[in-house]
Amino acid sequence: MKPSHGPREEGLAAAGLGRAYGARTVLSDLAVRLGPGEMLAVTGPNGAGKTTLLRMLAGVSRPTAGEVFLDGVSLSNGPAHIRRRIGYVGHQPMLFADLTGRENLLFFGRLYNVPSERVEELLAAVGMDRRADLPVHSCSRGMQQRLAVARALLHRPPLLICDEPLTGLDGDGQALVLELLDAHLAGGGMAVVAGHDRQLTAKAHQVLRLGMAPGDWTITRQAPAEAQRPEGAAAAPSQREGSEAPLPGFFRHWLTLTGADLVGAFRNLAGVATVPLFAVLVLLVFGLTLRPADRDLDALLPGLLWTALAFAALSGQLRPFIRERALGAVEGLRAAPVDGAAAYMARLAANWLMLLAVAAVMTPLFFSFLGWQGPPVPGLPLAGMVALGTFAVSTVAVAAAALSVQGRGAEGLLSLLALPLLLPVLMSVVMATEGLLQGRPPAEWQAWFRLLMACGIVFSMFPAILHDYLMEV
Amino acid sequence: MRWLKVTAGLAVPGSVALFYAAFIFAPTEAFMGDVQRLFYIHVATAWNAYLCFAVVLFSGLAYLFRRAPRWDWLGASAAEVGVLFTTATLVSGSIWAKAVWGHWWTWEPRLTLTFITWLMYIGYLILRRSIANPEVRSRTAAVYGVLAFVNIPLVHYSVQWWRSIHPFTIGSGRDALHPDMRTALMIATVAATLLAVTLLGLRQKTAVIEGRLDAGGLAGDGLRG
Repeated sequence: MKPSHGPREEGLAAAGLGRAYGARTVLSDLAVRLGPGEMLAVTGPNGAGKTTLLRMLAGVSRPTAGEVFLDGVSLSNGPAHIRRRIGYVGHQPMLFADLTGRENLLFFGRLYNVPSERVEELLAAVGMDRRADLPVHSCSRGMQQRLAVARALLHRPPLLICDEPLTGLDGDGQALVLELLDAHLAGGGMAVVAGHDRQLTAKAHQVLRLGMAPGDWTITRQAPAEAQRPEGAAAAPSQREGSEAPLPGFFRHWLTLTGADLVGAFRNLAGVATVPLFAVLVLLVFGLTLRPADRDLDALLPGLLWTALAFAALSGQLRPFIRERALGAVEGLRAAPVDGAAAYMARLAANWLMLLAVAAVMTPLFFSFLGWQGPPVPGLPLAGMVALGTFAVSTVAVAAAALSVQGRGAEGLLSLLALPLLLPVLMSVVMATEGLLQGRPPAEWQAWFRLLMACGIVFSMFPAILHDYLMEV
Repeated sequence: MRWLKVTAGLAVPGSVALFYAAFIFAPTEAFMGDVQRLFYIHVATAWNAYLCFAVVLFSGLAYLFRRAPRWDWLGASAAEVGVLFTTATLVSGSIWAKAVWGHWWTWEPRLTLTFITWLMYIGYLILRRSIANPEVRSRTAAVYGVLAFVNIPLVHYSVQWWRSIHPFTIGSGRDALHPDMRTALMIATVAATLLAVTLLGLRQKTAVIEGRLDAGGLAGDGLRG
């Protein structure tokens, strides 16, 4: 996308900024300007729009009016790599609950191309080096907050945005975060911090007070309190330029995200086990109840096999989406310089690989347990059909899960949205598999095969393009 | 919304014209007899269901790019009217099928895919109901509205792509419709379109009011017809 350039000046600038949720306007006609080494404190009553403003300034949420510019580049219309210049500490820790603290930082480090030494350096800086191998879900709120601060500082961002950063921290933790903030500002970095803590607001060069009405806001300038730096502390490296290491490309991001998805899935074995369970159940029930004399397996087996695989695909589908929302990791991904399509394709790849593994085991079992008596099975073409069919089924399952996780009663919604979308895929794959197994000439079933391919392409490409909109917070 | 008054004013005589064209003006089909007259209603409602779902698609895309709530309200209204017209298509088709094929329903591609479309847009409406946050609701529904439209070309071309027992709507050459039947079909389609546009406009108007109430108050502007 062509970068959209704003005022040719350093720092953070926004004018005419507004945000509405549906027809309800929360913020209106807001202007912010922040130079290197400066801090803006955002205060106001609950519901005044502090978090909404910070999300827009962090680039995780689009303004409905106006634009945010960082060093002259628009956050909403500019390139994704502009987000590497921002570190964001949100309301939630924005970490993956199933990964350890160290794994989380290494994962985000790979997205920003940060060396692993930096991860260790930050774990020590936030006092988490000895507890970094605990899964994040078993960490206390304070420990999660320390990790969240480390994640935001990982890539040495020139602009640090923090939403109530002292939440859940003990006295030592608060002191650590305040020192890191001082070091960031002393190095020429900028900070926007929301919160009511006087220790924080006293450090600010500007204070923005938001009122309850959309256009009710005031900015005042003040002399910041002296920075507290412990004796012997090293001078902070310059934060002005940020990390200049080249960012990983789409493929490396996709690989990193797929790996994290698979690791997260296998950490939760009870969840993974449900994926093949339905397929096994179908096999057992139909294997026991059908008798060789009263069945026409040639026609029945493809339908049974694909119904089992389709439900297997749906059964484990919501878990990764719920997992990434539990501690706000999806917001962390949104804040990172990652193409939304890479994140979506990674989820699709992880789901497909798991379904393919289930299909690789279950397909021979179906033929064996149901006593296939038809023509010899064409191994390689059938493997190709299974690969394509499982891919098409996965595309629908992932798309439906991405949509249904947004609503209440996601389990019910998933079936409701996925089953109608699945029917063209199931119709085509069952008919094509049946044609292949019965040795019919391809001309008789290739229309179904073409439909299957079309479904796979459409259901993977459309959501990959539109998924960015679902990731917005 | 002066245009709404115009279409509403035309929709009433249009509906009378639709029934006149289908049940009195059109000649009786030689093979199927009077039951064939359902064809005019069936095709007209099916065309308008396509039209409504196309509006869902375009308003979804417009919402994603412009983020103006009016596009979301238009999409929601079009989905409701589209489901209504698809229901009419399925019911009229089913009555015709019982008389001609001897079954209320058969799992052939056109019928199956139309039924899937109906389920998809009911899913769209339930999805909207299940999301409380108006902005997330609008975004999610817009994405789903774009995705669901994929089924419409499948429905339309299914009679050509697969060996289907569903008749072609309008043949050519020897299979061409009788000129009076063609005229009746045209009248029915125009009348049903006027009805669909009127229903869409009225539903959109109430959706705007609902949206403003959701937002905590009626602004007043834009609510006057």
